[in-house]
Amino acid sequence: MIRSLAWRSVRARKGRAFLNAAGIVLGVALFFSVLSLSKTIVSTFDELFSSVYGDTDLIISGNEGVGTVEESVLDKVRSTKGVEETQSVVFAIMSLVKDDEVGGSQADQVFTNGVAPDSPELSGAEIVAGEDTLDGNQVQLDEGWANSNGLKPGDKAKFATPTGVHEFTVSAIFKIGKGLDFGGSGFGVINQDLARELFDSPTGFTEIDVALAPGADLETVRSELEKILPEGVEAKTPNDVADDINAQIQGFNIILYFFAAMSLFVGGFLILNSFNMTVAQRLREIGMLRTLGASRKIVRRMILVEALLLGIIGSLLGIVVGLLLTQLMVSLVASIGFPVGAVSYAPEAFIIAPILGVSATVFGALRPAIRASRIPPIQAVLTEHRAEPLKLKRRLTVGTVLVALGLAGVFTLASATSFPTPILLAGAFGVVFLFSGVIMIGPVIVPWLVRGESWPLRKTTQIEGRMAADNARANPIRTASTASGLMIGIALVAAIGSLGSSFIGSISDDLDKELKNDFTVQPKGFGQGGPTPTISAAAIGQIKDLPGAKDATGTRFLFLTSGYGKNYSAWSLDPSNYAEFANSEFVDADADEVFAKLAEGQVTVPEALAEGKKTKVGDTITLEGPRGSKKLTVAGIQTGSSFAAQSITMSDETWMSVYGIDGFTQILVLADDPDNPGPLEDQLRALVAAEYPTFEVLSNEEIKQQIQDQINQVFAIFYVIMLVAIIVSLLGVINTLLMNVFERTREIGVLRAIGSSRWQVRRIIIAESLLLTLAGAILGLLVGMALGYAFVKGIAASGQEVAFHPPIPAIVLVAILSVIFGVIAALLPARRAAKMNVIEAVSYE
Amino acid sequence: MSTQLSADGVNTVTSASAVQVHGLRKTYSSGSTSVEALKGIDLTIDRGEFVAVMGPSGSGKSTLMHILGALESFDDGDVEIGGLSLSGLDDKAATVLRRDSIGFIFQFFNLLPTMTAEENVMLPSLIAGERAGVLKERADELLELVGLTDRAEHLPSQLSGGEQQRVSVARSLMRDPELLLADEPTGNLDTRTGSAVLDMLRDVQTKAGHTIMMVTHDAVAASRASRVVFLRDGLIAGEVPGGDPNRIIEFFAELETRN
Repeated sequence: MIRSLAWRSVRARKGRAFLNAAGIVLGVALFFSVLSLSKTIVSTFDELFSSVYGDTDLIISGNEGVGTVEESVLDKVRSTKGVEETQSVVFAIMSLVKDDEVGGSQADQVFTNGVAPDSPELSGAEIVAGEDTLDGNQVQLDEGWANSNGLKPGDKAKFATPTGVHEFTVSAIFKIGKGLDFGGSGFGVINQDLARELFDSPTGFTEIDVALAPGADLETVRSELEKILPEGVEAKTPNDVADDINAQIQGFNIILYFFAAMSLFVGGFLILNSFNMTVAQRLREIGMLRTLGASRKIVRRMILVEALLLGIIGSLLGIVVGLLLTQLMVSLVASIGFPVGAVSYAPEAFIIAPILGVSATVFGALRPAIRASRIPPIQAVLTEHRAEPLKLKRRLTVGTVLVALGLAGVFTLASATSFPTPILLAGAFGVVFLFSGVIMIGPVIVPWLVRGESWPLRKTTQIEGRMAADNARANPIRTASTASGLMIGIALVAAIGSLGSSFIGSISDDLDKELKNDFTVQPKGFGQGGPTPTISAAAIGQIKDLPGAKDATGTRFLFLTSGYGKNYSAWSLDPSNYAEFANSEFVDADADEVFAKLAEGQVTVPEALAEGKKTKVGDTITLEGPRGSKKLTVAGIQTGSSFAAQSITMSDETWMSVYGIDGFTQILVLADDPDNPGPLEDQLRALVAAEYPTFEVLSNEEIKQQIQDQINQVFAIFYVIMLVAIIVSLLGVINTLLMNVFERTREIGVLRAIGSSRWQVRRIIIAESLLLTLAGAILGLLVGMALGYAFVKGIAASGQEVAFHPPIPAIVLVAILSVIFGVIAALLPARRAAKMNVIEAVSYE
Repeated sequence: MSTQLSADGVNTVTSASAVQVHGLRKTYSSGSTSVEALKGIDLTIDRGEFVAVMGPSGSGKSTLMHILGALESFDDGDVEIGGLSLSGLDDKAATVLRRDSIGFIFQFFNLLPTMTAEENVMLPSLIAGERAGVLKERADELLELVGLTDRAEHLPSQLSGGEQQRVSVARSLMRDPELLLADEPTGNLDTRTGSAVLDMLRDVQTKAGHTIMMVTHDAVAASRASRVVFLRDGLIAGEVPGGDPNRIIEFFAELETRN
């Protein structure tokens, strides 16, 4: 009987049911697709490692894949008991050259291994076409990539390499595993001798792959190897490597989960508001049931079962939408240069997402259900609904405490240097507390906000602005709840925006101070992570010889994933002339003195790292690289925002003794005439385009723009997720407007009867909608900037150089969107108000 | 026909009567059932007249009023308000007519709860797009007419039922309409307050010369009109002059028993 009542109620209010379900559908879809997205990323790597390392048992390489291993290691490995076969690799990324244009996209890249032609094949690759030879300029390519670029055995193909463009002949096409898709990038194999030359890598190996003798125990061999391997070199299984990468993207996943959870929170909040309205609208019906003898329990259950039905329907639809949304998210992630293969759906997503969806629905309906069950039978039948009385003082007190706790939690998270679960929870609860606090305070401040906002409307219209403001203020709790729903999504957008603009702003400010060079030559897409191409020392000489060039210097960069400098980078520079190219600033030290010490084999440490590790000038730090572990004295603590200033810097000699990478990452160039660098720029661009096409020439403005673009790209996915949350809350606006139209049937009827046109009535509803969305936007921007401010301050407290910059683009975007969304949300309610039957509206009480 | 003519006569007045209804028919259909609410009504209301319309439930009196108020369309016949035909009016034209030529007085007052008495009175002109500053003077005059000058700044919730209805009368006069339509104006008031409101309506008619049509089922209220028209089963069943409630009650009783 309860079920059938609940079901009838869903069907009787199809419109409202649809709106409620839509909120849940979107929330579940988002959660589902986020889970599937991270599953796709993880399985891309798993697939990659299981197929690329088909017959490989252990991989020997520098700590987590950085630097190169000395060649002498190979013989030691070969003579270790239990090692059957080895294959040494010299690795680099090449880019396909089509019609003399170097493709810059991921799909043009080929991850290329230089191997000895006679070495055993330890990958899972299988030749499917052509001859298995690697003589001279031959290249073998993987089937998928070769097909999509129309290459067959015997074809000639030009690739950009670290030392310039080189023409290869395709000797064979191979197939790895089930056919691999690694974000469109290809895999290639060339002769190791050629690789040494082309990749500017005369010594060392990127890795040594090991296959065990039959019957040999993996752990025994591994511990034997660890005895003979130099410090900083590790033996890992392909699974370990995949796990390392998965651990690295875990942070990204946590952020994704958090945003998806926030949009479900918004969905649950929408349900709460909506069921509150349903209960208000059905007072008489519920009271009637109570007078007829229905117990409180039955009333409560009726509403909860209705929520359950909605939750189930919404969650099922949510999965369907989620399947589509996953595709969108995966292509979005791929577009920011993240390697993702074919979409794979997480099995657990099919269970977790609907459970969360149903829980959010039922949880949201809980309080309205309890409220409904407390309605005294007679009162419900006799009196009209009145808005809940406001407990202003309690709301203000509790709300303020929650906001303060929330900001403290966010600050704690942001100022942390490591992220154990309690810290992450402090941050997550901080955000929830902050939002809950604002929701509590909402009914106190939103009416004022609405009044303020409506001022221009009241001044420019005769009655529309006035009526809209009156309507919006008539039920402060409902208005505030609706605006608060919007506030959450917008606040997160503003918070992300604040982070972005603060990073961008701080970096540009610092770069203006730091950069003295006129041009920078660096790999295309530098800073996006992943292996970076290098450029040879010869290029520096060529650039110096260009007319108009005053000087040039090379630097090297490496992202460190372990040891003292974990999550920082190492940077090599020439201490003798680096001061010409950049203003380096050190804590209480003169740059010349510091550089003199660098030349003697000391290093500098970035301020944030030094603070985190409590390192002082004169201390000794240990850097681990594939060339061994080195104890080095700290010459200075560096401040600033450039890549170099955020890195552990050292001289070229120190660099080689630790990491053993010859190629340069950047070349900094000075012009003879800094006020007129144009002629040099043209020459430089022509040289780099012709001979080093994987590199590009950037002016300082372009560098700043590039950093800005990269930050914005990374944030794009969060914006998309929050957009879904905002759309969810927009459904709340529609719901509230419909309810207001319903409750104001009589007033609207009167207006129509005494001569308001349909358009006037529509305009009232549109104005009301705008007041709501703008209130949500203003509240959201304020809360979001507070959130962003707390976050930026926290990051600054952790030692990073960042100052708060208001997110101007996000503010403009939100302002425009809230107006557009306000008008869209009003369409249906305005139509309903305009089409109202005037006689019915005015005749009956 | 009245001999009363407005000052600029020929320009605006084509007929001396405020309302002319000829052969008015209206049928409500829903699915397979249809109800003929008005079966051919002929009615003329002179300018400055106060006519009460009475009839049992379902007689068609509400339908007649809604059609005269341009809230409802009709199937056949013709209706003219101040010489303007209501046949085939679209929503826009009907809205303008309601705004400029009709004043409504409802049983449940229907004042906007968030506006003061004065603002409620000004409302029809605000809707018409006139500036509030100019309107204040006229609204204050009207509030004085209905004896509520000291209540101008009060919200409806702070006024008694009688006061609310007087504000509603003032509102209906704001645009100086051709026709006032009062739907059971005393239905929600006690006898004494109701009587005061009716006195006021009479004043509005006799002193300001407004035309009023009032639908009611209260014979005492109807007796304040200059004549009382009876409706039964969608047709005019007869009429008596106003003044004597007993005569109205007798006629009404006879109407109920007539076959």
